[in-house]
Amino acid sequence: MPAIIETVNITHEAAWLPWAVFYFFFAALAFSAAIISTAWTLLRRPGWKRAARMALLVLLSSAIVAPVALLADLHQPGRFWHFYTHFTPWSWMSWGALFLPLFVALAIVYSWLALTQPKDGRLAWAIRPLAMATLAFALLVALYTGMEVMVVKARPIWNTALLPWAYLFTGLMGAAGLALVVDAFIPGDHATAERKLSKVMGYAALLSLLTLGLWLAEGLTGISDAAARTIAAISGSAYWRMIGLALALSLAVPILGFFIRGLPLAVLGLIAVAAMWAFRWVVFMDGQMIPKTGAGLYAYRLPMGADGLLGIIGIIGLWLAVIIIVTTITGPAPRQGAAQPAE
Amino acid sequence: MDTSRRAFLTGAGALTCGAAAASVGAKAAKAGPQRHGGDPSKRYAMVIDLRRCIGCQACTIACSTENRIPIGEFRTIVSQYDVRDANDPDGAVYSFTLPRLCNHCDNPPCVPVCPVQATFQREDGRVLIDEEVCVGCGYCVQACPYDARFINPVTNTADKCTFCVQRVDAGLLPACVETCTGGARMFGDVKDPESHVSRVLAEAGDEVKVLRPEMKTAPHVYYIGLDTRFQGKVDGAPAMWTKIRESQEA
Ligand code: SF4
Ligand code: SF4
Repeated sequence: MPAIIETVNITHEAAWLPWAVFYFFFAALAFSAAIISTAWTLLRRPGWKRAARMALLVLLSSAIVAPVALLADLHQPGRFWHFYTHFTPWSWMSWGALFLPLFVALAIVYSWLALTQPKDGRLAWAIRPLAMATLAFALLVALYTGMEVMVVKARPIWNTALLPWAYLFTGLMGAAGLALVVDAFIPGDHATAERKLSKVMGYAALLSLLTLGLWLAEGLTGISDAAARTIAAISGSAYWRMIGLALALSLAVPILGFFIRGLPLAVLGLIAVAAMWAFRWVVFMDGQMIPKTGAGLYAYRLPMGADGLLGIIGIIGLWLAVIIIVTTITGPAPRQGAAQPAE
Repeated sequence: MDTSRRAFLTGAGALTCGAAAASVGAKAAKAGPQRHGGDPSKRYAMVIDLRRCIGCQACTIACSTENRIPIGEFRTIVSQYDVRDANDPDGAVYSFTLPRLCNHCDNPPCVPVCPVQATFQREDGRVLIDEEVCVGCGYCVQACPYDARFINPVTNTADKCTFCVQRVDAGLLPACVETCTGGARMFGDVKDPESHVSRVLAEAGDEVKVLRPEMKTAPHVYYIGLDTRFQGKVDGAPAMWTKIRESQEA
């Protein structure tokens, strides 16, 4: 018989909806794909051309979808312009409202130009500066999305300096994974791109696992008070133990490509995308179900409507529609005869 | 100028602009949110003498009625616990009741996160929300260490206790204080040493506690008779959560 039984209290609903999970998911896909593709544009390492093209497709499609999910997470989306009339330099979210539209605009122009390579080479000179600016804003979006959540002391599960790194590493893993999936659907020479992308995916998955391991170690040893408090709150829950194990296993799968030859890399890629998404779901939705003052854990029930299942189906459908349109218009490879910088 | 040099200079330009913007931002960010409105000679606070609380939830109902809170959401609630001596499992069980509300913290973490400055603090210490400005992003709900905020499903903006700003500004007491059956809730100006709350606090001395002092939020809801096991996240078994909206849906 426990010493304390809570007999009357209320469940607090999640203020950040599944939309927030999808915003952080697509934003991380976009900034990670930007890092992969601009690295190629700027460094021109041999063998990366097709891999970078797949990353560009992930960048373009995710950058278009991310702001939709963000707006949907606001309970007053029609007031988004208040972000600009009431700019607040001490709030990370306010900075995000500046960084995100600039990143999205740059990402769309840069990826479109890099994917279509204008016929007469007129704008070829613009691709490199656009890549630099896109990379700069991709890093700023990565920074703000990580910091915005990390600074919330009231939620110990978020309040760790490892969180922005976990977002970055799982983001790179998922973006490379999604690029592998896209690659499987576009005719051409798969082998080289697969090798390069699966390498990024594998190393990023390894770094993600190490980051989670470090967090666990910090919590178990008490080095981090926030991690220790989180573990104390969730360790008694069979659900949390199960999702912890499932997350660790799904993060380990993308690494298998290093050890076992002949594995279907697109399938590993899909698992990597799912693991990246699940990580964000657990951090946001399950994280919000840890009471700040009440006993035990709250229970989350996914609503069926726009703020739940319908919204999830809608946003995934939107991304699918965008990627199909984008790949159809841009074609499998740059136009023949288009001005292209030598590889 | 060859294209790669031009490209480099443009890119470097973009990076420099970004760095400059970031440093200007860092300076502005240091300034932080300023209090505005209200009477700076006052500091409103609540004192709750738990020895007098009978857990009747009259305050919960009075608040919801006065402030027209949608069913299923609460600006204040009295959490209730069955407590027994862990070393004496067959011993008597007693009941502990804990009224919870916004603490109108002196160092409120909900204020600096708000991206549009809809959440702000008055000079008299009350933390309020400008409903016309709030975009409903929920960041303040996350940042409050006391789960005192929620997104109001009718207004779609952040909501929480205001210390009944509309009543207090008209010279009345907050509805929960007015209605408190046991006389446990007291309200007033702690800057005035002669006020009732100041005298009660002075009398109680070391007995006075706040919730989650480790968060360094300087809460201005003071408790007398608070068992330290209830100061933070309660280490106990959840038994009966009410979720009125859910049961209505069902
Ligand atoms: S209790 Fe929460 S909502 Fe109230 S002032 Fe403190 S941090 Fe803000
Ligand atoms: S929900 Fe409203 S008051 Fe709270 S942080 Fe967002 S804009 Fe500010």
